[in-house]
Amino acid sequence: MVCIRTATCEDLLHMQQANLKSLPENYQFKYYLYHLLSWPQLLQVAEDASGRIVGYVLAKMEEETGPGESHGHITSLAVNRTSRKVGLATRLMMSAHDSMDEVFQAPFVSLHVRVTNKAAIHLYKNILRYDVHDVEEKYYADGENAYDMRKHFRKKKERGGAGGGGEKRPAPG
Amino acid sequence: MASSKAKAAGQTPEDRRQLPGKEQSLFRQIVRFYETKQYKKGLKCAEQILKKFPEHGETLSMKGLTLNCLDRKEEAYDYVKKGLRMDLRSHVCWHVFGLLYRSDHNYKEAIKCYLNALRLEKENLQILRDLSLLQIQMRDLNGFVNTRRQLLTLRPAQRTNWIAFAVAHHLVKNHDMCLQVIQAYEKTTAKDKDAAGGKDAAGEGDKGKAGGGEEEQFQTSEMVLYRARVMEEGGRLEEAIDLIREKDDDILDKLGAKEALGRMFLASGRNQEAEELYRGLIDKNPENTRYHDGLFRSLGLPALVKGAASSHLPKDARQKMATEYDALRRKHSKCVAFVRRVIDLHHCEDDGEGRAFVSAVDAYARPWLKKGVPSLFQSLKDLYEKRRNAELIEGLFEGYESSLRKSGTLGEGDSAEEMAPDVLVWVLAFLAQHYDRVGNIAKALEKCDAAIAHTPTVIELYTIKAKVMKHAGNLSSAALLSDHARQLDLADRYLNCHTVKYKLRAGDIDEANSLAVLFTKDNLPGNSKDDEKKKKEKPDPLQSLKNLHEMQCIWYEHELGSAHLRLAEKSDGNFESVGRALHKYRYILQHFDDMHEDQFDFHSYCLRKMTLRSYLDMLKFEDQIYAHPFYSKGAWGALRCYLRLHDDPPAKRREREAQEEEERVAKMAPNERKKYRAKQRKLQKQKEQAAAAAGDHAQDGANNSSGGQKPKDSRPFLVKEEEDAEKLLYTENPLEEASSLLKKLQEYQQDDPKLETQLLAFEWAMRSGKLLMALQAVRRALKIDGDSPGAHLCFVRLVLKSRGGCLEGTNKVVAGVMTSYIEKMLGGRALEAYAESYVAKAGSKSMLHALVGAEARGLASSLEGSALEDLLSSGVVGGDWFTEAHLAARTTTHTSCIEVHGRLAGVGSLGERWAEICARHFPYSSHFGGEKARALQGDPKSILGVQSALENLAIQ
Repeated sequence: MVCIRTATCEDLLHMQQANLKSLPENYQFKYYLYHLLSWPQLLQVAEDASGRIVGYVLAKMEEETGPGESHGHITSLAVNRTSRKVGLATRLMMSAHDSMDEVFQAPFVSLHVRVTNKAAIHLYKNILRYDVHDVEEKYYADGENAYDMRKHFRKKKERGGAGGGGEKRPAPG
Repeated sequence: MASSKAKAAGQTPEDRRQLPGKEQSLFRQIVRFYETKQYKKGLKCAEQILKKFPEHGETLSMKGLTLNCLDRKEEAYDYVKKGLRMDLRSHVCWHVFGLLYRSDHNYKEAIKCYLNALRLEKENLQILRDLSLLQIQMRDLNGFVNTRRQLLTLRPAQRTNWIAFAVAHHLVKNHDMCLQVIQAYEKTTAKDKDAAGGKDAAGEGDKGKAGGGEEEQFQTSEMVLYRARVMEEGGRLEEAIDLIREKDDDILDKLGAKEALGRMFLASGRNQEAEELYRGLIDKNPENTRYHDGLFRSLGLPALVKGAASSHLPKDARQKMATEYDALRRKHSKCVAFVRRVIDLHHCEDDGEGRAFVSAVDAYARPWLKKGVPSLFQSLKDLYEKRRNAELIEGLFEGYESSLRKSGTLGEGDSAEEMAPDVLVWVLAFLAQHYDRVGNIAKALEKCDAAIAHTPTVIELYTIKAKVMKHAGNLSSAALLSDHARQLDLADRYLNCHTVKYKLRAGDIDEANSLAVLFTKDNLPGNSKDDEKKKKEKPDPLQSLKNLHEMQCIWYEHELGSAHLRLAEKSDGNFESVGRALHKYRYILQHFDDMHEDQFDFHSYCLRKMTLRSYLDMLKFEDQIYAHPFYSKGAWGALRCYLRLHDDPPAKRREREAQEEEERVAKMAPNERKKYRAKQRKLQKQKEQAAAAAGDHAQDGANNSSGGQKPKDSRPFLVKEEEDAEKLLYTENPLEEASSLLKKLQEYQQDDPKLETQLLAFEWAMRSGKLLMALQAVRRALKIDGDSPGAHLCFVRLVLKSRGGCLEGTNKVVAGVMTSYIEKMLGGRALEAYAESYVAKAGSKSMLHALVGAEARGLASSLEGSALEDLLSSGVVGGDWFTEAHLAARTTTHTSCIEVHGRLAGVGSLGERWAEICARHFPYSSHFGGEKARALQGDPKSILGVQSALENLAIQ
């Protein structure tokens, strides 16, 4: 039983250690802090029954493209090997997508993935419905290429309608 | 800084400050060069001015500041101080002095300088802004309020000044004022908006217009929720609830808003609304157990914190919760959390055979066994705190196994579905972990081997078996198994880390390090960038261990430090390892300093981003950062090293060794001696050459990863590591270093004191002759755990020490406090009787309680030699605890048996007797020299199982 929830400041250190255990792309603590303090709703963690952080997604809004052009981007996603096969990655990603769409009104989300990482590509393509947008040559430090994958959310026009994007509201009073 | 023109010939400080036109423009250039980081050019300008006006204060200061950026720290301070002496009334000189302190993170002194600068130049915005940053960084909250007030008064048109002023009031818990400031600001902007484009609406107007203004909307949303948070913290719940509802259209973070509402509904007793809200949240994310707890609370039920904690819940409450979960399960059939939590609600004692409990576990486990979920055991581990639970789980899974073997199903009845063959593997894997948990190592290994024989390619089986072998006391086999798992999937860093950890536990540091670098960014396979350069330099791949430290890989540093410390603690250990251990632990301490420092840039950043809720959380987190368990672990390790360095100072040890060496050489035959000397000289020369090649060393210890520019240190990483570790061996005053660490730990752990800290504080105090501190530590330790063997032993030692005449010279008050505490604890009994009563009270708790109790008893009567042996052997070894039968009956760990062994070593033959018992109980134990451990030594790989999976793969 693992709970997916928005990360808090207390989770960051554990996210960092989880990242260091599972992935070769690592970041200093300050970078996690930067994500949390810029897009607090875009960091999601998977917490197991004994309170350990066993997976996380670290995401951001790509704002450099200019006003009105910003879109979501997945910086890093990891699930401990011992906690695999229960769909945590999918749930983490879906939570991050929801927040990108709802809180930051992102038109789409992008990510990079190693072209050889079949399991991840399967997740993004077949389960989460991403498309390959481009190939980035030698994107990784070791010279491997990356797929630039993207997933579009609902169109802006549709969003304006049903009260905050189809979100059920707490019945007032 | 433009001062009035010099009128009279009399040299006032102002006159001396005034430079002629040409020099004035040179001075402006220094400032510009400083700002654009062209320090060398700036230095030239400064020198030009100083040629003519060697006593010009502001130029001297700027020269110092520039030198500081060129890594000439000492000179920098000299010049800045000299400049200030020459022109005490210059705000520039004070500001520069502040900047210098700030660059060294000496914020306390920097604040003083800024305040002096402001006395001379009251409305300098730059200085005020800098000051406010330092004040919030140092949590000088009242100062922060004042400075922010001044800034707001000077620049009311800037949005951030309003927000910062509001936040300042929030921080001093003046919630009303905070809200008023926000409201006042919002009123003015509303007016501005009406007036359509007021001249400087905080300079934000231009951004939002272009593209829908998502960012502005986000900020508005954050602001509403921040206001609600301030109201909530100020106890104005109704208002906060109303605000969130009223501003629903402005709120983008719907989830955050709902969570806040739920919290506040509960806090204000609006249970019906809370219930509705939490049901909504559960529909959205049923796996979030915090929402379950919210729902239960709204229904007047207690929260179900963790598996084991449910044991105190009354039966009817549990039944209600179970019914609720049944309903939820029907709605969300895929949700795992409901199924898992129901297990916690069925207690095995509710019905005689624990049927409900077993069927709850059964319902939870089946789908996961079918899927082969590796974390199944992990997710049920909490249940093992109750012995009966473990027995029931064992029955269930043994049933699965026999049923699978018999009929290929998990059981009879409606569930008699035929299973895929790998289900048996996962049942066996579960049973292996189960038996390992309950201390039945032989059974655990049997299940591992059965699983491996069935499907040798399941990687998890080897990591599980590695863990079992670790508990069996054979760390090298454990490492071998882990490495085998790693080789089955070389691209998986998780497995790599697993092996690194296991190799370190086995004391194989070199091997561990050579694996650890495999996933650092320089060493990824096929790294093709800068190929040319790489080939030329041919760096040792181990150099990239540096990368792990840069990335703050705390788990690795802690394991590595502990591996070195274990080497040092071995009787034949290498004492240089203490330096290495300390060096690694200090990395962890340094990371925490860096992480504490990391907040600096965000003080202004968050005001712009408006992520104020997260900002406030961050401030709270940073305030508590040194209470983090990772920090404690690092600090405890470092403290152990410092104590060791004090007890066995390396300098003396080196002297001793040199002497021994001399004696040895003296005994050699002449030509042998000549050869030996030549060899020594050669080695020495090599060492010197290596050091010379490494170049001149810049200051160490200041490698601050977050501070922007790093001081240059051109030594190759591995050389630097060894030299720095060596330097630490000769720490001048280890007790003083320990003292400041302990102070920090005690301060930050105030709300949640840790036993380990108190025991180390006691050891430190006894060595430092600080009786009162020793007393304080014992007192706190006993408060945390009145039966703690360690604390008990400390108390007895303290009593003996106080009787050893050391109280005579001390302060009367200290002596008084000591005696009265001791008397209170002894309650009129003699120390011997007190120690006796501990054995009676706590001796049955564990092996260590019994042994340390007896040890303390012996100490109380100052028993030694055979008398002590008699006491310990009658009371302990051969007594209840220390028999093989007892080891078998209880889940005594191999680690605690080693600890006991360490305590018994040297007490007559007790150590050996104990080792014999343990060798029989832990046949794989290399420490105790168990039979199977000896067999494995001859054929280490036999542990991998019947057939190596690797070989299997190779055949395919």
